[in-house]
Amino acid sequence: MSPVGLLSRLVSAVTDARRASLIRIIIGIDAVLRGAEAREIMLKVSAPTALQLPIFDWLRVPAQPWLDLFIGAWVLLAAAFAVGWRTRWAGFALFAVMFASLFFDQQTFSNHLHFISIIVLLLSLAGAGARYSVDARMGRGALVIPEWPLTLLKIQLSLLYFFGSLSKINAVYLSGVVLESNLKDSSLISLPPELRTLEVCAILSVISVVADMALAFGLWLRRFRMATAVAGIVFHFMMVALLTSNLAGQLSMFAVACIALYLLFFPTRAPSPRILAETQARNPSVALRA
Amino acid sequence: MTPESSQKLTARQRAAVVFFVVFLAIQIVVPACKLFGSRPERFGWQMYAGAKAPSTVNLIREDGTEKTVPVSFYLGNYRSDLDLIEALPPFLCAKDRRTKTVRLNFLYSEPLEFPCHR
Repeated sequence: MSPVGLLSRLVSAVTDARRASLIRIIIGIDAVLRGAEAREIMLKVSAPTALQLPIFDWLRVPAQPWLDLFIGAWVLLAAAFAVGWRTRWAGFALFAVMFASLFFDQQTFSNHLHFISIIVLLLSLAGAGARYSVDARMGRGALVIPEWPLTLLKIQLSLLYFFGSLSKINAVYLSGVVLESNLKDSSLISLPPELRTLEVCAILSVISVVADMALAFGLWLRRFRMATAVAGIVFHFMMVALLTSNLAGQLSMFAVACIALYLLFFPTRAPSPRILAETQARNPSVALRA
Repeated sequence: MTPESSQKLTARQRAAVVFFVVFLAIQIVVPACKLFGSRPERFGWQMYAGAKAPSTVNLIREDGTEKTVPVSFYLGNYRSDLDLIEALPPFLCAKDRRTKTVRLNFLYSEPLEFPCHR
């Protein structure tokens, strides 16, 4: 099949809406919590005595009361997205708000925020308000949704792990100094001093590079999928537990976002004839086979 | 489940194809380019890949005395991917008029010194 044919087939495919809707709820709650945290960060960043590092001269952390209005909009949009009210538009607006905040200042950037903003965008494109939502209750739901945004989400997760691994292949990281400086007594799990050596951290660094790369590809392989998902959950848990406690909140939310997407890699039952008939009625341009 | 197209793609589906390709291109090209910069870079998924920002500063005064301060003291939110070399020295010089030289100390590389120009 030609690439054009493959892409055509890709954008025509539909899938059960339940997984994406579940993920929507998780990510929506994540975004609400992240909004509250963003306010604290932005207040500190914009304090008069602090050094500000704007990325663009014309874009800064909003001054009060605009900051509270901005965060208020963020939290309300995230809540609307989570409960699935006007999901698509709430999602697009939430994406715009979160993505814009990445550029207010170098200090307001966060990989987690970058990631969940992309997840929100793709879930909105997919129509993830189709199930388990206010929209569904009010007759705006659907049993199946386009699959292509969810395929992009799966690829995005794999790219995150892939580049996360590649970027760690450097002399500094592999020497163990980065991990050693981030292992603290105040972490949830504190390694005993005899295990907190540079040599042990170097071994852990190599393991983390291999783990990241395995996660990038393992979820796509049916034979290794479950084992990879379990390994991913353990990997994220260890990161949250071992690294500095003041980052535990962010790392936890990041872990939740990544793990939620694992659901997409596990197939659901084929839609029933009723679903297929309903979908055909709504989309006469495609013919569905059970 | 994959449908068989009985007709050509609709305008919406053609837009989806364009979005798919453009989105994927951006999500691959941007992080790939960031691999050529110093670790870690923003938008490159380079979590914990290194530490570009200095961790402490030494404020060296005219009389030779030195004061060591964590960089996080001057920031609202310290991150290891901050580009501080241009902005931090003049900020510190302006903040403490007695400072003659600012030394930025990095976790994984040699320190850098910047004289205060007044």
